[in-house]
Amino acid sequence: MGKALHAELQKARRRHDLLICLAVPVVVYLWAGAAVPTGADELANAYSALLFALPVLNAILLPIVMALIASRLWDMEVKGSTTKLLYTLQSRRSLFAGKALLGTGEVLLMVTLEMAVSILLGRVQGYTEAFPAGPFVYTGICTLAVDVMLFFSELLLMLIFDNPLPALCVGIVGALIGLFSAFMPPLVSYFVPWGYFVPLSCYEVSYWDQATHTVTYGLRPYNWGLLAFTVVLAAVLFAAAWRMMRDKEV
Amino acid sequence: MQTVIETKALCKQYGPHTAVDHVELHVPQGCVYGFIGPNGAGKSTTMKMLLGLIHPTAGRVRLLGQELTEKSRLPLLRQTGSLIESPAGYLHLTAQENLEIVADLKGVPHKDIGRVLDIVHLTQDRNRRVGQYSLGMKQRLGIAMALLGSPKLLILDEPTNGLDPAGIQEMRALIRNMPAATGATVLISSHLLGEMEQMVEQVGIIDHGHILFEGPLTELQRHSRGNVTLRLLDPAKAAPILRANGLTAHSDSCVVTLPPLQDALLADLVQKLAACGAGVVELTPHTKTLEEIFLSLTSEEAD
Amino acid sequence: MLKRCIIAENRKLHASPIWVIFFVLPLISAGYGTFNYLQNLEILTERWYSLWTQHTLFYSMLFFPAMVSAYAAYLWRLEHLGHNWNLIMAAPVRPFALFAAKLLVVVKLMCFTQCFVFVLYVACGRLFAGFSDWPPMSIVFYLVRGIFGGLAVAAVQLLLAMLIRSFAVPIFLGLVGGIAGMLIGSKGYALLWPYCLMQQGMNANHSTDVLAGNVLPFLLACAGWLAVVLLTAKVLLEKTDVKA
Repeated sequence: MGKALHAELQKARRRHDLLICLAVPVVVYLWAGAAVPTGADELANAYSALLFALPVLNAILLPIVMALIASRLWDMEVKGSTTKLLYTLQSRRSLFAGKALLGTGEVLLMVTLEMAVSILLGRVQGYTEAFPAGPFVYTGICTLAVDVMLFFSELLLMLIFDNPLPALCVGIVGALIGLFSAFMPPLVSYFVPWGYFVPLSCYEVSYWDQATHTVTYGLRPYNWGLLAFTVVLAAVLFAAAWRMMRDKEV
Repeated sequence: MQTVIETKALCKQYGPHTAVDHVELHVPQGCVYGFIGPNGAGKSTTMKMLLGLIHPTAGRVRLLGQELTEKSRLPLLRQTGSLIESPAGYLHLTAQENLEIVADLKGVPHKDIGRVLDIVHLTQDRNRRVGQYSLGMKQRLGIAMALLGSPKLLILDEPTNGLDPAGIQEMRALIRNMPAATGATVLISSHLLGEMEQMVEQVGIIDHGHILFEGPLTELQRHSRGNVTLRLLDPAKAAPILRANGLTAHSDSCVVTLPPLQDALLADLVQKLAACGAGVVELTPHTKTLEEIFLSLTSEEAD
Repeated sequence: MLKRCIIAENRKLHASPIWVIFFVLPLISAGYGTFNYLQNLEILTERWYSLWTQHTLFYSMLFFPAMVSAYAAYLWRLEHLGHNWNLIMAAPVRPFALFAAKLLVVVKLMCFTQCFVFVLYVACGRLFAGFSDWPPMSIVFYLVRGIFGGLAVAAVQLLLAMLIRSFAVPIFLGLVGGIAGMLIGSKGYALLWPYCLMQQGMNANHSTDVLAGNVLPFLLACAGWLAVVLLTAKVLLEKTDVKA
């Protein structure tokens, strides 16, 4: 296992995947930070507003980013026709373990940085709302779970087609319907895994003043059921991707 | 002598198409074994089954005296070097880095990398990205990967593909000397028969998934006694004598072609021809090229 | 010469499933847009114009750039794989003609997509939104402007895909470009960033024309970006070595 991960890390040299893991939080920072909260009312509700907006940004960005990470992990083996060589050197299990570990590690790094960036945003823009630790951790866990689930779905597509095109197209289309499902009734959004970020969110609009255009956000119950389902879905996709790699003819 | 590779009734079926049909290979230790057949004969498929890359439909494989199973596969393959079809390599990494990955996976110390790079003459280019390599260089890198860790068995699928003439010469010398230098046994496939004659001791010939011949090269060459040509000053005088010996000769020119003959018969014939004044100037015995042997073996198979 | 290149590009795309995404994205976009329009009739009071913003807002801001990126990356992937670079660079055509041919192939598909968007828009308006009249002519005008705006995006993405050998990275950059376009556009600097032009041309988030009386600067911006990218591509293709 350690050996397989070590090999994956060696292969990651000069591929600048770390740059992608850094680019995503930067984009999130700029995007989420573009609307600077002004006025005492908004600052007092700013963390809630941020954690309300974050899942929507994730739904647009992350399906494509997950396709990107998964495709880069497998595309280099396709381009270098290295699978035959690797299968004589290591077990398929360890090759899969290496890819799964590195991919999950990259996702974890990205989510951690994204959450760190939202704390930073709060500091820089001087939010006055008390830091909501519980919802914050919950949002991080949900993002991680959906990311991992999407990562393995994209890895599965890469393994089936040996070509990044289907994975990326599914990523783009998934992002679009994921985003739209966010504005549909909750029942619809349950059928669109790419958009799970939004139904998992623990914030909602509690009051909208149409005259002054001010919005107040409030907490809503954690969606443990959907989170559990996401984890199950991730496990199923993990198993499917592993079976695909195990049974692949070379 | 121990058998390093042994297969029993190895078969591979792709739908209705039988790629490999009851192949029995016996590769003795310390030899260079040429696995010869035209494109699509089943060479690569057989070699992939030897490495456990694809699962046989039926039959068994023994490598280095051990049955090849899912469990024994990786320990066996650690003692094996292979190059199958197109050469492999991460295009965004250098040759050095590619070899480091393979060395780590094989559990071979990094200092062996310098040695294999030297052997394939890539030391100068070790820090260039493989994406910029020519096909021949990628092929040599593939061979370097196979040589890492001085394996006991080398399985090379058409290793001279894409090499320039000098590279092919070097590769032949390298492979021919491998058993003496490292004690390794080499299984090498090719569709070029002439090139095999210069480096192998044992041959197996495969076509349409069937083994047509297996044995020492010398035995194959014994099958290869070919025609005899005579150059005569006066072919007209020779004709009656040839007819008397039951031979049909094409005497339209000064050159007469005879079928393969026993040495004693030939000596007798030459003496008679000389006595009648036909004037024997030149006698050339021909050996069949491997191509011809191969064609005769395949046509026998068809009959 | 250019014609031969275009024919070659078209042939490479035969039997390729890439056009499916050009069909699916507008379809989803229209479905959602119509749904959203019907849900919010009390705020969306400008009938055809309101329906238009709902149909095209996300599409032209985010997913159009991503879609064009996928297409551009695909066209170049064919050359990046194997030794195709050598093959095409050795072909008796100017390297720049190759780039131009790829651009025209993308633009051709883009035109089809715009027509499809329009057909979906009219169909949804008549069938689901219950409009008995026909959409205003200005919508057709928006669609044509959208093509001009899209031209700049397509050119930038083709350049990125030519330079970056990875398939996925240019697509990610296209998405980031679209997001940056939203932010830059909201600050009023839309003409300075190519990814804003499509959305501006399509008039995707306003019921009054954002470009009213401003069409000339818009067209100049489109032409300017296009010229910059084409020139860069030309210099890179003709002055640098073949990378195989």
